[in-house]
Amino acid sequence: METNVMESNVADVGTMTPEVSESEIIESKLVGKKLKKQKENSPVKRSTGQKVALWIVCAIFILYSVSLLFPFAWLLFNSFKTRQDFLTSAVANGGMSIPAIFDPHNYYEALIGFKLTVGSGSAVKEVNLLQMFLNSIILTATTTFLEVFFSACTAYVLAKYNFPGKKIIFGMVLASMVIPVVGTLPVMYDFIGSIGLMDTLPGVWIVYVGGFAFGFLLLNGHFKSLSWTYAEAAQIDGATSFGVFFKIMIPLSMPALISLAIITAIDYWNNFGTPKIYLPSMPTVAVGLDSLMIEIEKTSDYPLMFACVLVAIAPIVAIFCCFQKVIISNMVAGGIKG
Amino acid sequence: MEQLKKKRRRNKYGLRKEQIVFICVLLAYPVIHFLVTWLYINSRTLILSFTRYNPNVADFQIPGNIFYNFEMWIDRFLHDSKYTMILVNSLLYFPVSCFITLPLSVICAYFIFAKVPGGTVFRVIFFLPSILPGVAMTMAFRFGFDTYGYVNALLRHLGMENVPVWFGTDGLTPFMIFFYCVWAGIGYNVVLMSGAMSRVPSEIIEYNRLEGVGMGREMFCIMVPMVWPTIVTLFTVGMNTVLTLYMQPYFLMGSSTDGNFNTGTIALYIFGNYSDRRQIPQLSSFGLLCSLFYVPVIFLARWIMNKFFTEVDY
Amino acid sequence: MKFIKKMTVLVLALCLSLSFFAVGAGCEWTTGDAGETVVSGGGGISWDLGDTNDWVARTRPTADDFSDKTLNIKFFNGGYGRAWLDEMEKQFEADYPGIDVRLTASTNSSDFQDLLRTELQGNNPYDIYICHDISWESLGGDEKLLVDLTDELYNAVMYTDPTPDDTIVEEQGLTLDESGNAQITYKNLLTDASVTSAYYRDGYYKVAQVQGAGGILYNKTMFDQYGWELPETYDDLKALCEQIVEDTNGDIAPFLVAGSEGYLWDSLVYDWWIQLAGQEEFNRLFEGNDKNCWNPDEYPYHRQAYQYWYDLFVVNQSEYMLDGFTGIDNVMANAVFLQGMAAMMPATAWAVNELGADVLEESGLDVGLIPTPYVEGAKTDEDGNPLRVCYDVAGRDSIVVSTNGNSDLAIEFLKWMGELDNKYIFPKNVSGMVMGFKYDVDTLLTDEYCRFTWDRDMFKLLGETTFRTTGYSSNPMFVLKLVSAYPIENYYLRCFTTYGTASQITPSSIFASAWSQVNSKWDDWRFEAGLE
Repeated sequence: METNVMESNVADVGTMTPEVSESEIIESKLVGKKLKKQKENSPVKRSTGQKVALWIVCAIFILYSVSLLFPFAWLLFNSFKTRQDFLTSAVANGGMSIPAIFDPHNYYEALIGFKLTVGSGSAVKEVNLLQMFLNSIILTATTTFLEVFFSACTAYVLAKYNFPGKKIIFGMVLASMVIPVVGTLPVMYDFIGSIGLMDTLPGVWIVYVGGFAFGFLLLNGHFKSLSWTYAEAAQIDGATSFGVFFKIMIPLSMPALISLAIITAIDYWNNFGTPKIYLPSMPTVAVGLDSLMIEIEKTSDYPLMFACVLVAIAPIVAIFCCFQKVIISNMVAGGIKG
Repeated sequence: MEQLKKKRRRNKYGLRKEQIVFICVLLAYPVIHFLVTWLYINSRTLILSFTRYNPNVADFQIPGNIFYNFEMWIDRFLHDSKYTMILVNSLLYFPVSCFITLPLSVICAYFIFAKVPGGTVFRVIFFLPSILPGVAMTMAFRFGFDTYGYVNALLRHLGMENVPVWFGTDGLTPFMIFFYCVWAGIGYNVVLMSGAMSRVPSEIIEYNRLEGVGMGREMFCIMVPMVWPTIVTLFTVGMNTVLTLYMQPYFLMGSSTDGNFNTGTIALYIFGNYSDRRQIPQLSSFGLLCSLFYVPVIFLARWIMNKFFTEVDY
Repeated sequence: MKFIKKMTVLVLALCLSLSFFAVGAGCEWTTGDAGETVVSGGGGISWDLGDTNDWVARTRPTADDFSDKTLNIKFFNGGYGRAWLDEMEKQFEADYPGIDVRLTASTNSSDFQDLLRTELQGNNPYDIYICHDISWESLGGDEKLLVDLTDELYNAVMYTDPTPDDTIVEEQGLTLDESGNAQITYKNLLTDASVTSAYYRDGYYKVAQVQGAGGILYNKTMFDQYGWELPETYDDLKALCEQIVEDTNGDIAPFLVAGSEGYLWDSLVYDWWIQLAGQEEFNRLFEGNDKNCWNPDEYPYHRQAYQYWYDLFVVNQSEYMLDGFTGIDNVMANAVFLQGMAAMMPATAWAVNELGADVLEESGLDVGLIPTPYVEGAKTDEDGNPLRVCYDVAGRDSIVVSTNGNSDLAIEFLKWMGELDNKYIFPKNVSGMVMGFKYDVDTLLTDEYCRFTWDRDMFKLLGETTFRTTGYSSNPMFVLKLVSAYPIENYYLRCFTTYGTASQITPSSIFASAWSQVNSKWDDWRFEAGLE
């Protein structure tokens, strides 16, 4: 009886994409690798004209890449100047002179010395860039985990189960994603304040994490394509629905979950508006950097400002350079299906 | 007979008690969250858009004319050039995102797919702006184009006397923000498009090359149709920037929400006033009007794109 | 299933409609009493309470009189710096042993605007907030998140004068106690302009932090070097600009202004407006009872003032203004001014503090203040001399006390600030500026308080001015920003940075546009402000 019920569930669910078994998945991956190798060793060569075109495009790409990297090189050189040196050189030659002395003092100030005051009353505290990194890590890690978890929950349930109200939920979720509603920010801000969660992590989680966003769509398609055979086998062995979900479906979906986690984490790490509005006493790198720059600008100590920016982005760039293959390949895999 | 009916009803969904509990537990938070943060918030926004702040009671009440807010906004859009420019400026992000950034991303992604020398390295560099905080990217960009930045220094060196004030001139400053959006926005789309293009079966590409299809034809006649759903999705995301973009003008104009030099956008205006409780009704009605007019445009665009182009299955 | 869908839609629609009607039925517009309309304005800062030698100070409480002995102050660390507050902190702690004052600085003014309501509603707000553009009217007068300082501070007796001068008693409205001693209240120690700019809905919800004036900051060292004379009139100013261009071959611009700071021209335009209109007519607009004050045909003064500014600076941008000024911010503008690339800057009272007193001294530069030159048609005194008037942008700066904080100790701190000696701590540390109190100008004109020519010029101006205003009105139409004194947008420079080039924003067009809007919306605004 139970098996029949599951089959009927699967029949209801699996109309959009065909069921694929585990062995088929492994086979297709092997085929894919084979094809990729064949492509790389393809006997079809480019014509001369095409090669020239590719090199011209390469030159354009080099120019564009230089335009992306040069501003940071400029910041780097000027971060070693003193305040007065920079102002003089800015007026004279746009800051294009090399510093007379490479003074690293600004980096010490940026990392530890310069602090932002946050909080109120007896809860006031000073926060430096290192602490902002910590705040960013805490916020990004928790919100990414919650977002991925709840997206997986909703996507799985709506992909694999049939229950009253399912279509209504699906319809409302799609409508909410397709229809952008503007002007709700003040009401949301007022609401979060009225329930006493302003300037708290749970308040930010409520704003960020729902489970019915882009992650839901991504994982819904993925779960639909997952075979139900594993679940059936587990249920025969006595696994509950929770067991099937956490011990079978989640591990099987790890690549998709990791892809979603990476896309989500990047988005949350750089998010400015929500942490600024809802969590001002725990500034992240994105928010704190903005506040730091406003503070430093009053003193016109631009080299210190540059040092703060470079210190803030250095770890991100380092991590990205080390793991860029993993990050980009997961983004490529997890991106929108063509 | 009744027992049979009951049995049939249970079998229609075939859910055991344990499964019902499982579904309820997993959906509890997301559904409650949706009801509260979408349904309740949007309903309240809708209702408040018909009220005004009454200082006598420090709360929202319905004034004599319940459409006061909407009339005020329509009057402003038609007669106050500051608000007209906010609308126009916001709408301009549509062609910038959808007809400049997106096509450029497709072209760049194609050439990376076509194995331009150093393609892998370029993809990594292009993606950098997406992982860096917006404040850092905009600062790096802005300083270059400051009145005393290196771009103007170069122009002066080349003999130009009246160098442009890139971020202090009406016609030029909004253009600089559009330029920044394109300059920094290409990379993310390039990676997503690369992903879509990499899923195109290689046999098709092989076949086309054997048939002597050039790169131009390959890009426009084969690749674009095959990744059309991705393009449609990114197009829709690009259209949404009209209503949601605020970070770039905010940072590029020195963390200011004033929208000087015609750089204001709808989202920036709301972001600049969100904490003033007295303005909730005005902002709610503002957002509502914008959504009412623009959402059908989004749907129309999607319909057109899906109607006149055929999705290719593979 | 279809039935369930239909029912769901119906239920949702019913809920929405019911909510809507609930809002409508229970929330009809409530009219109320807006209170007396008070418009900011008064004379200068000169001391007019007579000799203080015999005055008897109030008895100060001790630390034991306060249950909470910690005072938390959050202040905007901007143009005035923090040295003055640091010194006050030390001195207050010395005068009240056992009391701990904690200062928290922020250079982000949005902390005092966007986040302030959240903090005030929370459990742990600061006791005192000091910054510009705090929405004290709504936070205090409407929502009662700020303390009403009327009885506890403004009416608090600070000193008694056992030998009062009858003239002073009458002029100042002093009350006499049973023994015939004049009671000097905190309110009496403040200037009229400071008092009137703190009143809303029958109460005082803030203390004016500072007093100053605007005008033109000039590079005195450069002026001495070239032998340029200070302009007295508008025509003199025009001639000076021409002379600067000629003498320096255009290498030095007559004027520099930071394009991003819209308010910098306001002092000049407002001063010309008051010169032309006179005090009474100027205030008539701010009373908010006559919409014809926005009609340039019936009330030409504002438009004329704007025209003077437009003709001199907007039309002559390319000759009189430093190239590229629209694209630079305050900080860069100051740095460029110090490099000697411009001779003058339109200035507010805190200009020298933003330039940096230490930086000025290091560079060996001296700067001075040119009071707003007189325009033709300026009101005169009995002897035919044009009246000196001052618009003070700094009037937006406020000190407020939160109701959820340690308000007793906070009020005591404000009282201490207003004592005869303590109020001088501010001008000692801040170039050319004073707090909201009355001062002995001769004391201020000594070397202890004057590091630059600017300081002397400013104190002299504040002492001599016949009328000083912050442009504040307690009329709810102004408080709710339904109507504004500006013809369009906030601040004059912002007119053309927001709306377009000089040719598009002529005085006639923007004042006509402003009048059209005011004329059509006046009744709605009066209704919304609770005045009808």
